[in-house]
Amino acid sequence: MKNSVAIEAQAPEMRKQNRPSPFMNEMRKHGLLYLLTLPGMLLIFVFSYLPMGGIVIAFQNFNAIKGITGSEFVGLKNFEFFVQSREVLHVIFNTLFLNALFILFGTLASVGIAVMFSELGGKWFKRIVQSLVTLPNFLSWTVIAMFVTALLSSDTGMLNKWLEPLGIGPIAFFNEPAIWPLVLVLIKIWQGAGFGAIVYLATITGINPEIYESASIDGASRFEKIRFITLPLLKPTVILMMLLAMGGIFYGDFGMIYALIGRNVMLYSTTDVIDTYVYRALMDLGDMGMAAAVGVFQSVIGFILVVTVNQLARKFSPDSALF
Amino acid sequence: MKGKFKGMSLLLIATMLVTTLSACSGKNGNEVNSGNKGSTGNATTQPSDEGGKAPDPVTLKMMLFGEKPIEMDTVLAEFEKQTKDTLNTKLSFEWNPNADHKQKLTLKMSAGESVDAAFDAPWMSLNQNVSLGYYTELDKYFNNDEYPGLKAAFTEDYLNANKINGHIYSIPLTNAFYDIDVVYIRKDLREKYGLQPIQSYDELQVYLEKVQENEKGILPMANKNDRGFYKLFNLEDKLTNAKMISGMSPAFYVYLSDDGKKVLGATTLGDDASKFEGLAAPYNDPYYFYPQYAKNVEWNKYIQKDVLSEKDAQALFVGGKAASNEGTINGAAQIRQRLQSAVPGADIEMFVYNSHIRNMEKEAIGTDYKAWNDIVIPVTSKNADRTMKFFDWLFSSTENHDLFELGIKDTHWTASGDRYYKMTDKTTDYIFPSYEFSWNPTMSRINGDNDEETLKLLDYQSQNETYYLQPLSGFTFDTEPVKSEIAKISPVVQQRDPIFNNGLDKNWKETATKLNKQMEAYGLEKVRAEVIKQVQAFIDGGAQ
Repeated sequence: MKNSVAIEAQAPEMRKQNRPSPFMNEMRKHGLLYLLTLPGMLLIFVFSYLPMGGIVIAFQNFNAIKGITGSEFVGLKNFEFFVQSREVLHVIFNTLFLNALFILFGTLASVGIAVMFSELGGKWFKRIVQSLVTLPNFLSWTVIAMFVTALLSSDTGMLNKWLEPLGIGPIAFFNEPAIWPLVLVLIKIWQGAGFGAIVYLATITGINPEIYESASIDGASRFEKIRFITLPLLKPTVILMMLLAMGGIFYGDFGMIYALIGRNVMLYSTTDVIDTYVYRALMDLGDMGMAAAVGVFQSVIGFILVVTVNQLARKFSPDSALF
Repeated sequence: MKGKFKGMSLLLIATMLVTTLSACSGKNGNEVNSGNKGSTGNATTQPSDEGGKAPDPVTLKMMLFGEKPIEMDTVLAEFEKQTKDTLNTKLSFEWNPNADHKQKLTLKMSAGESVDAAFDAPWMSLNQNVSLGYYTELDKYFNNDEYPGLKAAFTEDYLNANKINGHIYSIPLTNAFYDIDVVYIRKDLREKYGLQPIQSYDELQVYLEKVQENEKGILPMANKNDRGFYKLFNLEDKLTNAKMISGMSPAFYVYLSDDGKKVLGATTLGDDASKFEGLAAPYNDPYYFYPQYAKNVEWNKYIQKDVLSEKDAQALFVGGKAASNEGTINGAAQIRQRLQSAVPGADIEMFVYNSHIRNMEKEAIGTDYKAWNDIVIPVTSKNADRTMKFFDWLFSSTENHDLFELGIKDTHWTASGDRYYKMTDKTTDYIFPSYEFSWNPTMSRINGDNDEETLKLLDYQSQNETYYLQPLSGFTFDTEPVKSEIAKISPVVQQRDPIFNNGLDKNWKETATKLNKQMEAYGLEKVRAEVIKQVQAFIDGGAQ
């Protein structure tokens, strides 16, 4: 990617000198290397770019039998219901708010776990603990939802049973929307932070040990080494990961929210996200065009966000920008 | 990369080899089989026009949802053996998870992949998909002497009631036109408190109170999430010139003039009083149709605190953790069995809460004779004729029908008279979801393992005199013209109903009015006008 940009930038200058086309030149020089990338590019084209033609469904009164070519074009009509509904602002806020919390606290927890692992001695202990924190990532949300019900239920929940002797509660978690952003963040961290730490741990492992050695010689304590070496060197990775996460900030985690909240309308005020809302709105209708319209909307906003944040990153920390 | 490609191509070649080989062996197998047997037809009843010569072999693809019965293949083998020389048809069933079925079917059609028969239903996507032109029109197969089985099993009235836009697009499936609603209670607990069998809501309440007082750790009543109290406390009056139009949000009540020729209005919950002016009593009372909501609030103390997060209310009842549970009568035998295996010595009893049904009155249940479930043939199928031939065979004799619905006689079930069947210890090896495929009011057998009271009710609900024809029978609302409005309104309704159904909102009248205003902003009036327009057009079109 970087190469091709560079070539284009040089192009006008080259032409002035009447040399053979720089593209052909480049091809002659590195043709074999480009040939190597060809299958990869083809795969991306076939599986990532060709299907984008399907976006057209968002602007159609889509009919599965008539297909993409035969369905009636209706312009922005499919977007109408989503843009005009007042609740939409609310669910957009919930989506952004919850995802922002997930990204922020998820990253903090992951970085924390990664730093702790990097400081751990004892090979076996480290491996076992590492497996243990990674494990929840492989549990399905449906299973986690069952744990959560067993833990938080008002009638039979374990948490309420533990709180009882302390004279607290019972807390009706499933009727109390205000608690849920916290509950969701905690569950999300428990589920994903360990797995998320792998990337950071890999980065830390890649840091040149000589830096630490020389710091030790200069008398740096353990905490100082973390504070002044590990964390600053982790920064580009952290920003990169956050950038990637930003692209999905308009997508509610449907699997998680739907499994945990399900159809509990009492909790919708803080937990209803775009995806669950749209699911409810279109469940009766089953209209592909309208569903696709919301998908396009989410992707476009996600794309804009990534570009903006990347721009910002480039300004403040050029190393960590994606492009 | 190269290695990967090599691997992939190897895989591809292997797959191709396997499929070709299996195709060969399939053919060989067929030949061997047909060689062994003569070409004369066997005992099964068959359309005479086949003339003893088997048609070309065909494999029909069926799409259903749920679990594949353990011994499905045994039954299919038996089917193929019986019909080798007549139908010469193989069936290949695809079993999808319930939640995926609808999307998968649509996707298959968009991809042009052919499916020969699939499940759909008015509560799933039948009406929308018919109006989108996804399903083959089946008019010519019914009431046609070439398909005598279908002709006999599907009466004209039954088919008329299941027409959509004046045509038959599905094979309607049902074993009765209603499944009687009951509250299951614990007989052993009732007797423990010295109570008489429950015959009224008041007596049920006494029972629930007793449970609440005496049984720590047992919930008086377990509700199923948003279903709430379901039809408990609902209006029991016979409706002859008003009808609820459902299948979209919100549900409307439509009122007809006395001669049934003109639509007088359409109302929904929370409408302001002006909408009811000019309607005849009792319909001029805005809350006439909603007596249940106040009662739900009153009874909320008996149900789970976290009812809206309830995942499986029946499990609470059959596990002995709840003392009552609302349900329908069809589940009785299974519920009793599950309860008794978890709580030895326990037994169930049923309280039929609709008083007309409890007294087994004639014309107690209004129906439009519409089946809840259907089999459709997507237009992508190239084997519509053969598929209908299969269903003709299925409905042509009770033996054929029993084979699919209950499995192999004397293995999976035993006959008990003409109407009943009894379970065997092998029954669990073949639990076919017959409601998706074969249910029929005249052919489906009733589980004879039920207690006497249940059998009486099951008999009652299978009789014609139990029902009266509702007005506007056969009408289905086409959501297409107002789908944007419905998409906006539907989340509002879906947030309201679970709360009302469980009695979680004491001020339900105010809430209903408030939400109605919100729906108005989303185009409620446009939907109302469309409902009135479509219903009037339906009446003018000559139906009913």
